[in-house]
Amino acid sequence: MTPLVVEHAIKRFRQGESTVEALSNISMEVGKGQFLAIMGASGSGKSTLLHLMAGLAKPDEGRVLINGTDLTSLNDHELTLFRRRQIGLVFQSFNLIPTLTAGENVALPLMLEGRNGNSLKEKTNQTLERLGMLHRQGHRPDAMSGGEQQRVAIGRALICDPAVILADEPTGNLDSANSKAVCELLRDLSVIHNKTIVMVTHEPTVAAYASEVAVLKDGKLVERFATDELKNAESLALRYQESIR
Amino acid sequence: MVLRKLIVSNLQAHRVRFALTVAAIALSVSLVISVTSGYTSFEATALKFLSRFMGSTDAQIYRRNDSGGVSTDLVAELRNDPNVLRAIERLEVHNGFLDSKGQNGNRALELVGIERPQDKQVESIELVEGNWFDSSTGNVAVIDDAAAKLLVDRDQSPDYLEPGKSLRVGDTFILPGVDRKLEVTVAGVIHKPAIVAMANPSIYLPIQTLRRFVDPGNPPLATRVLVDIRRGTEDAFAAKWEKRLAAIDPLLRLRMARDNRRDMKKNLQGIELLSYLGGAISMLAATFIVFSALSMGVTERQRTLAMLRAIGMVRFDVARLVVSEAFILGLVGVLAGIPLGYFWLRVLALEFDHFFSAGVMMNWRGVGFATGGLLLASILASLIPAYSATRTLPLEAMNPLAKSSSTRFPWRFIFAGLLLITIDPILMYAPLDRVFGPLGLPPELVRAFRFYGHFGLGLPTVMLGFFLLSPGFVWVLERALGPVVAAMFGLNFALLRQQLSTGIWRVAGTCTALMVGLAVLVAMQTQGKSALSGWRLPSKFPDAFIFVGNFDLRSLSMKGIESDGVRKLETVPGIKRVMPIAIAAPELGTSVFSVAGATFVPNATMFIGIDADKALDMMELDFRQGTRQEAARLLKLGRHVIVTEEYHQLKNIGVGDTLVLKRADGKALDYKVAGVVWSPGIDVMVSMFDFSRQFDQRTVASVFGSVEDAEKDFGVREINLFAADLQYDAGQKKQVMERVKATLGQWGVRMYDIRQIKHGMTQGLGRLLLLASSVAFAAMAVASLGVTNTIMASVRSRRWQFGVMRSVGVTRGQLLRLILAEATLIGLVGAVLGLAAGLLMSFDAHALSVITLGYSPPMVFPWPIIWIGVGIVIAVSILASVWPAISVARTQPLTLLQAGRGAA
Repeated sequence: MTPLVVEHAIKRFRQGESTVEALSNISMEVGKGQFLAIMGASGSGKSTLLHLMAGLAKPDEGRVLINGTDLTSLNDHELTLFRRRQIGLVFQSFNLIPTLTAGENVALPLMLEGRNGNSLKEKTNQTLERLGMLHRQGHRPDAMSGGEQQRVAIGRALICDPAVILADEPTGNLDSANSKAVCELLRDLSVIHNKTIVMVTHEPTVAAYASEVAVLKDGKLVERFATDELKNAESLALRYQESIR
Repeated sequence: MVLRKLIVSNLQAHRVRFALTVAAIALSVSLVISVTSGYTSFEATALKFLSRFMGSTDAQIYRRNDSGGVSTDLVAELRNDPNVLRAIERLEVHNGFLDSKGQNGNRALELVGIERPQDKQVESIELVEGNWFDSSTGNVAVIDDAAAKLLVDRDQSPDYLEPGKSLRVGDTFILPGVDRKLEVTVAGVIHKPAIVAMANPSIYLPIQTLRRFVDPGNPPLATRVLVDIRRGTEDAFAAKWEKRLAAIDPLLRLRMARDNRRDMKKNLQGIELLSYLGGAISMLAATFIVFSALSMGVTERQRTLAMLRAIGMVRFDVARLVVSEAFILGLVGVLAGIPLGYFWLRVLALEFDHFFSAGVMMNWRGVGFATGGLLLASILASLIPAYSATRTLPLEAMNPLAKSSSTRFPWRFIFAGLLLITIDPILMYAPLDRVFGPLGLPPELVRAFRFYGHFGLGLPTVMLGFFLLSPGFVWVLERALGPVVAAMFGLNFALLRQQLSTGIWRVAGTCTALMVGLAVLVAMQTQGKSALSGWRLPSKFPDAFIFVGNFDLRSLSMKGIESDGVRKLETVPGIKRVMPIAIAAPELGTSVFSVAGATFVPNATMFIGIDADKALDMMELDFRQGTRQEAARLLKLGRHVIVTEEYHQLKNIGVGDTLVLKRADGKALDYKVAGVVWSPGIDVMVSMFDFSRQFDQRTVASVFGSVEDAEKDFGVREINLFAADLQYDAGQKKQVMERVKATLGQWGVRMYDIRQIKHGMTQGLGRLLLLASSVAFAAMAVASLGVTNTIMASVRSRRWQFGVMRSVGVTRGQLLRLILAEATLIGLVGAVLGLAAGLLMSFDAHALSVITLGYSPPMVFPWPIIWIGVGIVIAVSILASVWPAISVARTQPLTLLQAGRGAA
């Protein structure tokens, strides 16, 4: 079953008196273990598309399916539980709870599931170890670098073993070294652990870590291409520029 | 587990806010506990006195109106009753005395003849010197410490706390009788609390000695029989002896100990209710503070909550998170408040030891009320923040910047608030009689509905309504007063604009907490001052009341003077004119003043028997119905009364209508109304002369009838009270009184200048009102913690914004002034809300006074004290902001910027 399917999604927003179509009839599939980067200029609709995929917003037309479940058919409560179990979210600004430790932040979705005791601890430690953050498990966010915080956030997205991981500009608040580390982590998750990842970014150097790139322009999917046909980030940037020209 | 972790970590992260909110709750709990336990301790003290000085026996038999006695035959009959364990006689009379200088005492002492050694009850009184005598004969006495002082020098203050000479064991003193003197040796000195001793200095004598002194020729009498009954037979005893006593003499009265306790509780019910009401008010202030703290928490954690929603926390759990935080705040506050309440109680006990002479008693019902009330209030306070938290969109977590709060005008809340605040005025002012009357509901029931509706529904909805209106007040006043406040602090209004309305609920909660105290102050003071101002003496009114009360040892009753005495009084130089006043306290035949269940509103009236012609000439009463001449004519015919406006207001009783008054034996008598007058408050003044002690009934309002009716229908045989017009100025009062005493040859004469009485009582009630207003000040103290909390949180959440301001050139001083200006605006909003709520509550309380008492004085607004309250509210707000303002102004711009934009 395809982990993520978007079918003819249309999303409109009101802007004052007029209505703007943020997404125009977008359809796409993201296969198991695929790492898709969504690129586009500011206002192209990339974040809106990610929000639809995450069930944070509903399309006006069309539908989004994750592991065959139509998100548009779920009510708020069902959608919340579905998100908890099937979707891992990574935010640009990390969104860690400042009063909880790294370990507790990672464990949060499982704690919401009512898990506790040794099984929770074991799973949390495993996740932190996979991220190379085990040694920081007792630290609070304010004692960690941006890269470390984002890794903890990725751990939180991973811990429930979701069908898809959705990342919105995950490197937007990071320096280049930390950006690189986060991108490598996401790539490894996709390549080694067969995780399905969709990442929104406007940076070609970041998108270059993905296996495929989808380019949006004015709410339309204008191109989708594999990154392995490109030599490096510069050629990806050129390809992207051509797509949106 | 996750909720626990989130709650604990959040509370730990906001320690100061947690501490301040807990402190507000703890202070509120402690106030409730100290006030209610203070009441319980006072009640225990009163019960102790009741048992010690009025008898701890199961039943007492005495003659109503403190006149006449109980025969020894009756005592013998009582002793033969198998249910009676003991029947002990006492003879209680009032008598003059000679002090050691040979001067006649200027007041009466109570002489108590006791059967010893059978009467053990006296042994519970603290003996400071000597011993109780063990015989019913002999010229010995045990005296209390007040009498011990007066017997040395009549002019000494009987207050035992003041140093002065006292009689000691072995000393002698002389009691002057009608035709003999009794010389007595002191066998013991007892201690009574000042409040009891000063009111009634007492001498205990062997009963046979006192009988011989009082009336040696006649059969022995007792004025009181103390009866101990076999356990479990109380009801049978009461049933049997009530009937038997009525058959012997309708004025004989059986009073069971349980009746004493019940009546005392009933008399204190108003104070108890006030103690709970005061507690509820401080709890209300605390509720708004909890609300404010939780609102802050939700606003600040908007992004966290959004993230939690985004990663799968369901709405119910988000709500649970906020409600659980509230519960924990409440629980910790309660746990801290209980010992704090006990501490306040100990402080009160140190300060007012005479009210705590039975010890410090915890009122566990009060503790339960505070605990349950505050926990419930905390949970209720969390409902709106919890709802608001559940509305957080998970999508907000995707935004790099926190969503800025809406600054739209809160129409929905204004509408709901307006609806709520109209409920109480509808209950008070709507013509419910006309609505329910046709449905067959009696007016008494409608009145009870209004009364309980006011306290049960009206007042809570006024508070809740103003709370919902408060965001609107914030929104409007920020725009209306903001420019003025900005100018006052030398700021550009642009800096101040929308600083409050961006965190509108947080500010609204704080302003409402500030409102509670001020509203209560305004309502209490307005109602109190209006009630006092309604007591208007007519421009023509007797100059003085003269009380003549000699205890007649033969008839065992308080004797007044007879017609030749009145004539004698009129001849006293300085006295122009005298009018006798006969006082009775009949019960009302139909319920006029009582409200079902509210037993603290008495349903008896004061019947003031007057000489119609003289009285209406001396007193220019304000006739609302009828005329002076016609009323005087009708009163002389008998079975007519002039009623006060209260009757007219409550029962629509007017001239020609019938008022049913009940005699002591229960017989109902029809009186026709001859006129309706505005109450000159004579009943209030008459109670000054301690007449109430002679009545079994507490009274409310008064009616004027003839002296003849008072005598014929209500058995008033002695006249003790006279209204007089004088020919003296204030400085000559003492001389006139001495002349009155000399003329009548009596010691029990007191004379009071009416205007002085009124002035004294008004002053006293004013002080009482101020004391009662301490509830309002306590609520303000609780609110001050909430203001500190809000300002601190508001400053903390805007550190980045302040950092930017400082970076672009805003000086430390400007920043400081900005925060002070915000606090001033909060204070102003709180003050306006308080004034609005207070004025509405004042109008409703005024209507309630008409509903329960028929008393509708013109409303008087005591603006000086109201403005003081307003000043306190604004000052509390500004003071609370000083430290956060200084603290943020001293912080380096870079540090403020590093606080992060996410908090903005």
